[in-house]
Amino acid sequence: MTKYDDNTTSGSASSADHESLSVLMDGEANDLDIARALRGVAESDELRAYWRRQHVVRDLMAGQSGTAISVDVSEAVRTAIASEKRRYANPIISMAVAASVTVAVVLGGQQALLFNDNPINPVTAPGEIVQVPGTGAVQASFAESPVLQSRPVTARSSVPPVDLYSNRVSYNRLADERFESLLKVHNTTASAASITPMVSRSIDPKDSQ
Amino acid sequence: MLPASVWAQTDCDLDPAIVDAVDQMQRSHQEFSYSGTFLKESSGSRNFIEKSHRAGDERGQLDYVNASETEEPQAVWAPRGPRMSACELGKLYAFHLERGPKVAGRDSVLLHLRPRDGLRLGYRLALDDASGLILKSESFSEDGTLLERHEYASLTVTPKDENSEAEGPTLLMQHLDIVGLPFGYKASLARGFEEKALFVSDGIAAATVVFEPLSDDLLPGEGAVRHGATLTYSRGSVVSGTGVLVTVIGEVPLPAARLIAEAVRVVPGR
Amino acid sequence: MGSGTLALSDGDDKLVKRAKKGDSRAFDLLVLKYQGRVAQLISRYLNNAAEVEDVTQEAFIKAYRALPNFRGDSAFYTWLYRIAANAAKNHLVALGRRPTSDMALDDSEVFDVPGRLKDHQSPDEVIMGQELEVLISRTIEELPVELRAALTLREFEGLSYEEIADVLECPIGTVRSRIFRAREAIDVKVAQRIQGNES
Repeated sequence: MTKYDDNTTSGSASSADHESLSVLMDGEANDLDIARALRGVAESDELRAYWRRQHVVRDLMAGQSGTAISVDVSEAVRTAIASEKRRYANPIISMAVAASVTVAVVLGGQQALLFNDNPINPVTAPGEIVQVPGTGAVQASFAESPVLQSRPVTARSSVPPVDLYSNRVSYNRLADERFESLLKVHNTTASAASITPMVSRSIDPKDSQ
Repeated sequence: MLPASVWAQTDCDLDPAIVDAVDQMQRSHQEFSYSGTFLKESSGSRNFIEKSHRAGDERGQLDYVNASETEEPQAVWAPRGPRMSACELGKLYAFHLERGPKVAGRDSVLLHLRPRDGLRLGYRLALDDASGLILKSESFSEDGTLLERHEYASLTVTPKDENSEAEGPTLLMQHLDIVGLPFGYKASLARGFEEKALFVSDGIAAATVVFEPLSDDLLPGEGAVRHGATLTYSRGSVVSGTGVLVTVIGEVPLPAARLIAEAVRVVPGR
Repeated sequence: MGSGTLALSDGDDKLVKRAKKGDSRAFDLLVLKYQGRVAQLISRYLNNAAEVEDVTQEAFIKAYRALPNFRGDSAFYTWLYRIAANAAKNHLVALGRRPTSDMALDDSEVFDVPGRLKDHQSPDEVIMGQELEVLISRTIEELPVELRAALTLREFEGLSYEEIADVLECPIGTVRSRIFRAREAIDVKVAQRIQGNES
């Protein structure tokens, strides 16, 4: 039997992982292949290197000899993404609006209704969290993910024990979501200032389709 | 920034050159048309933007040179608040004026605005000698950190046509009587969103305030994030059994945002 | 050599779908797949190797953040390349260097035209690329004919496994296995050469 004999079984687990990556490269992976491939690359530097090499080979075979063989930013990108994920340790709290709630702001006889009846779109680029002083128990660093206690659901009239850390994280996230949805509004309203020091109130375009 | 000794005096003891510069800066959008390209740097991101404006127009145009898709040019509102005198502003900011660098190939003067308290940001503006337009603007936090920079790389300026129509009316600001706003700030209904938002400003610093219902599963609290010079502060509170989320978004420091959020009185509808 | 385009987007859909849901391992695979080409694109604008790497990294992070907005109207790599091109242009502008008009690329230009001068590459990389091309060609030629046939139909003709099974008159499972083993054989040689260079 030659080593290329059709009857050879796939052998070791890592060989099966390689094969899953090979199939994935061709767009022919089934769910099992994908699951194996993803698990494998999360656990094995060698598998990541294999995948990377296979694409270099493919590029060269396709005549893309200009492909930058030695550039590897994957580690740096992985780290950056992981740290962005840690910023918000809590799952998003949904802002379902109770249709019956009407809050009126009474100011000099004027009444203003609620700004927003609709759910806010999720954040795409988190802002820098600002430390809000005066709450004592809140941790200084949001880099760690401590074990969060679930918040008890209580009637408004009582004063439940507040898990300050997770509450702060939720509010930071709310603030960031509002930045995304309100910036355009603010840039319009702020033109009512007599002097706009911003050379131009502009909104960064999203890198989107 | 600069040492205290060089800062100008207040109470209209101001150097006439400063008074002129502030005045010219406020008139510039009515008296000049311009178009050019500027670089905006904020929170580590950089964007290259083209802008055009016609003298006296309420709106100008913005074009994103670097957008990854074809973005429609945006209409943006030109600044059009009631004129504030340098004297009034001088109570809130200490001014300093000096010869500036060439920006976009144009001569400029550098106007520094140092906040007199921790309730507003600091600015360094390069004003065009010829027109008073802001060629470059830098905003600084309380501790002197640069938050955001906008700078024109190229700019063409033309004076308003002599025969063009008289300038449009300045926005009338009806101030709302709200107790507890940070010193120097006044509130009014927001331009363009009169029934839905408030506008709070000291003439330079600007913040918008909106209200939403507070979700039942969220306890009272507060949080804040900053993108460049813009702070977004959200505070959830309960008033007579009704949960309200107040958000203050603007180029203000955190203490000012908190005061603004607290000052807005919220009562259930009658 | 081959068409390039046919094989490029294979498998992306499934990875992109998972990445959009937050699976960063799927995104990691996309980074590893495209970083060479993205860096190549960016190096048309920037000459400095360290800058190229920085901006390549930045492009992928921007793409990750923008993933929720990717609707799949175009191929993932087309969308990714636009983000990368803009990141490179922004970088130039911020350094006070304006991109020249002949650097404006449309999608069709991001694929190398054979014979085009690749003056953005370092000499080492050019040599390595050439050596690898020779090595790969030779290894393919030395493969047993049934493995060579399967790989050729996949990489150069862009046929699906099912189509290859038709042509070679064998089961799809055999096609899958042959292509895999052909790649293993090439990988052994390529890994040796690359690792030899890196050690």
